[in-house]
Amino acid sequence: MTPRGHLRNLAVALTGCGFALLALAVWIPLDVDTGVIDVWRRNVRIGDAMLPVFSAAGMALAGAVIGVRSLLRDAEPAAGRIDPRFLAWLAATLAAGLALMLLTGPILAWIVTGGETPYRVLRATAPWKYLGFALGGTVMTFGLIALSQHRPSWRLAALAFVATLVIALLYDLPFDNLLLPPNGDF
Amino acid sequence: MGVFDYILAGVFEAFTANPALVLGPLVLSWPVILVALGFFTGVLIGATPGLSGPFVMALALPILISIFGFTPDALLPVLGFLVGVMKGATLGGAVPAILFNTPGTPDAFMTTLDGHPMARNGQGGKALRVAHFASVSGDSFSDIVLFVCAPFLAISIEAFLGLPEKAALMILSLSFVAVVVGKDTWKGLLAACFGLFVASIGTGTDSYPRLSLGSDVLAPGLPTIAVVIGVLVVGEILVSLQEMYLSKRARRAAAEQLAPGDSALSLAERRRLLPFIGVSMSIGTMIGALPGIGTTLAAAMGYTAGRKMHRGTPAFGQGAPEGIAATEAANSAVSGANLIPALSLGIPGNVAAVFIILAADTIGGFNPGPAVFRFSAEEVNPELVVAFALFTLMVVANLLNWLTGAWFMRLLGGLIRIPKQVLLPIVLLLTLTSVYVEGSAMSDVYILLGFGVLGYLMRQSGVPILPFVIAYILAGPLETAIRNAFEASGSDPWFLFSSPVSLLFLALSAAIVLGAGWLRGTPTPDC
Amino acid sequence: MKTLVTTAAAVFLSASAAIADWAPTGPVKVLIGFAAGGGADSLARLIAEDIEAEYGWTLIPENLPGSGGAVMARAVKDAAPDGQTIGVGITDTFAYGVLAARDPGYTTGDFTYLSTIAGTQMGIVAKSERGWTTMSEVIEAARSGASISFGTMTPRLADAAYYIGKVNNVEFNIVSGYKGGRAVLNAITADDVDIGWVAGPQKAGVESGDLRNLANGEDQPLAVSPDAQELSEIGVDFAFGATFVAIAPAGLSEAAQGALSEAIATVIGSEGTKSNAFITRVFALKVKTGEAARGFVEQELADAEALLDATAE
Repeated sequence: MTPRGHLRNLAVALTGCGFALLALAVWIPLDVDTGVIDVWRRNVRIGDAMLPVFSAAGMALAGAVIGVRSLLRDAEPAAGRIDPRFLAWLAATLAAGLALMLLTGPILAWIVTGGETPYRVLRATAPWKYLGFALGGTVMTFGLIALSQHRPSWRLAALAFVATLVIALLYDLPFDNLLLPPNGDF
Repeated sequence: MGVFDYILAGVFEAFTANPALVLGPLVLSWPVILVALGFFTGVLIGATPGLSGPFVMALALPILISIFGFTPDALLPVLGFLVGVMKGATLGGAVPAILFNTPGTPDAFMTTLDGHPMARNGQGGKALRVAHFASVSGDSFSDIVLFVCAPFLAISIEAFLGLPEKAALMILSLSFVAVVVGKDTWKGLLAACFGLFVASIGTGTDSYPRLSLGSDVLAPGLPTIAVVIGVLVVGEILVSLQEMYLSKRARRAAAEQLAPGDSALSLAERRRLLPFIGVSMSIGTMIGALPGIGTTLAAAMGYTAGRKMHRGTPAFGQGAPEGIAATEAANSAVSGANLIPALSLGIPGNVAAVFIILAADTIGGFNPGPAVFRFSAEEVNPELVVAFALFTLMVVANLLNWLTGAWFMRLLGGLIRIPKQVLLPIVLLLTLTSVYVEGSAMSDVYILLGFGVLGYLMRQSGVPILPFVIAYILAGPLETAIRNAFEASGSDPWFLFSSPVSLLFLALSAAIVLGAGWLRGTPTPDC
Repeated sequence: MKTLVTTAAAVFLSASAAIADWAPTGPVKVLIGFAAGGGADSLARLIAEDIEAEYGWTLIPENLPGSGGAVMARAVKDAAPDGQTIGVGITDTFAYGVLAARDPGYTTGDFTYLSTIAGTQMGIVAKSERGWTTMSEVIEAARSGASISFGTMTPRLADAAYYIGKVNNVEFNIVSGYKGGRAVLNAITADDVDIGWVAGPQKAGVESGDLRNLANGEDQPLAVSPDAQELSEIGVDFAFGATFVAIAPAGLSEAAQGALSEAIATVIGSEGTKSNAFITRVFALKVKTGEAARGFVEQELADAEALLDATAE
């Protein structure tokens, strides 16, 4: 009933169609080596482009129908809300958490050892292996709790830290060959 | 080996092949321990509002694989755990529905209608007993149907369907899922086609990994577990977080806590419930056997059927035990039957089946599909032994459910609840870590979060998730079947339309897409 | 024959005892070029189990099926040559597979060949209930108009199927997408294809009478059906047997290569191990390590060229 429902369906239609057409016109021709039908050494086979072409065509068709219908019909189901402020906060929190997770270890290692020992050497030893995960995880968890709770408090921050630590130990203590994030990337 | 030998071998495999503890003649095997662990975790999580079975499966799968490794020995413990969770979560959902009027899982909504009034009348314990009795009956019945039907169906499929028919059958299932889940046929098709497209990235038979954009991350294909968990679980978490962010009443409304009270359920009372349970579990089993239709629809249909049958007081909706029984028997009967298409055809019909197929694919050595049920006499078919061992584990879970389920449900009623606002961010970090440790690459985490946002956008725009996930899982087998069918026909462009059976399947697919409005006359199932 | 090979392996082992001090510093990934449940898969998994038991190393088998082993080959080529990634496939992939593919994405020189493992028992298989006893009868059926589908799992076997048709003036519908002999066997059992190449797992079915080896693809008689029709009787002068081989990326240190080769050769050569029992049951033991393994692959490369010339249009 809401105009928002119409707009959302139009957006779904445009995204679906747009993606499909882009894939059909640019991505598939440039990034798949065999055609829809592949003839190689006298065998006629189904090529690698068959599945993407058919699925993109299906998306284009479905998108088109959704689009036309949203323009024609007036009774539409209301759409769920996509809140840009929520998404901005979410993105900021996740980005901050992941950045801290990735960078804390290497930066502290550089400061403490004066750049002599690379983080790669330290990544599997305590306390180094916990630093990035603990800080990044705490920030991420606390950020999201604060986001949904509206009332950040020291108690919640402590809770986030403890929860992160418990998760770290949960994976690290029983399993020798598992690496906590981000240690496998170094 | 005959049929009996296989069943015996399966039972033996489940109980003794992978022992954790040996006390004289008594052997406690890992699969049995894990199925029990899964069951209790499932009840606990199902009883926690805001969480559901798929959350545990998503978190547990990478961890379990890290623990048990990729050997065939890992199959039964991991599959056992997933099956245990599946059964436990359905049962657990009834606890908060009855005691707090907040359904723990979406399919338990109908349980609140009669369960909560009963709890308010001081009959909470009895309501839990009714829910348990109905749930476990429905579950056991559905499992029996699975044990009988899956091998039979698989053997007939294998015997009567050739390559083009199998490909057509997959297309039929996929269109059915796309159309039946969610409110909108075309959005469902959009989601399914998108799932097929995403699955084609980095795969294919040519030496160049198609659609990989020259990237080393995409070249081996997207990490399946990260994609599936991202869309299914992270997307759901984001939606809930936003809901709480937007809701001004940030503090959880203090749930009305009711003491369970009297909990006896006499034999005569149980007998009175039986007709309701019988009808509902048949409905649930039939619904469950069709891919893509969730437990919510089964619960709604069971409840409606029960209301039509019911005479006398209290009326449905005012605290009738029959209402709880009708709902719980129906939604619990779905879970076993859901595995019929998964095990016999390799076509996952719901989220639990998706995780079971995912686990089997990741570990290797067991490929759900018709080939599992080859009763080869001359040589042991190890996959068939695994299948029967899995059935055995389901029986173990059911026995456990009969014996301890009611007690455990009551116990949970008294537990302190953690507010969702705190729980979900922690679950998100847990999911992220769980996905990371399996692949040891941050790129997996980015993919997880990226598909999480996609899942959030799809949910908020009414694009159903399940068709995407099932199409993504089914893309590989479908493409292989179509390639082989085409080549076996001598490169006949009409290979899919050459036999009456495949023609029938394709006609049915088209009819389903076009007749979608009629099919969807009932309330929307969950995803 | 078997004792001879075992002795040879033992002699090789004592010579290489000096390099036995290399051990992997972490789990070794074993990439398997064919689908789960097939011959290569069982072989690789059993070898991994035996090495774990014998040497205490951790081995993690992983299936990377597709394109007759080429998917696995590309993954091994791109892995670090630190001894912690090895591959198990067939020599075909590194000989015929390199020559015949449009762009295989690797060359024969991109790998260290650790050890050949076993030879196949390649045959053209059909269900007994179809009534054929030899390949000639199938060709006869095709000549009289029946459409015959022929399942294959590598490009070379697909070419072989084509070549058999070509010299006999019939055309088979060649289904080349199967990811291993077990998959072809399943397809034959399910009537998805009429006949197909199977490399050894057909043995039990043939013994019980459900399946038949219509023709022998090896250059020596098949153990289970020594009387199977020879390909030369239908005008084909090639053998299409395959050899399972363990590989690693090129640039592997000599110590690592020696230790890995030794580990594999030891477990498959010792009677009583799971892998040895499996090989002697389904395939035939064939152990060549180091230079001998490389030489074997190069010989196959030369043979493959001959086959390609013969099947060229």
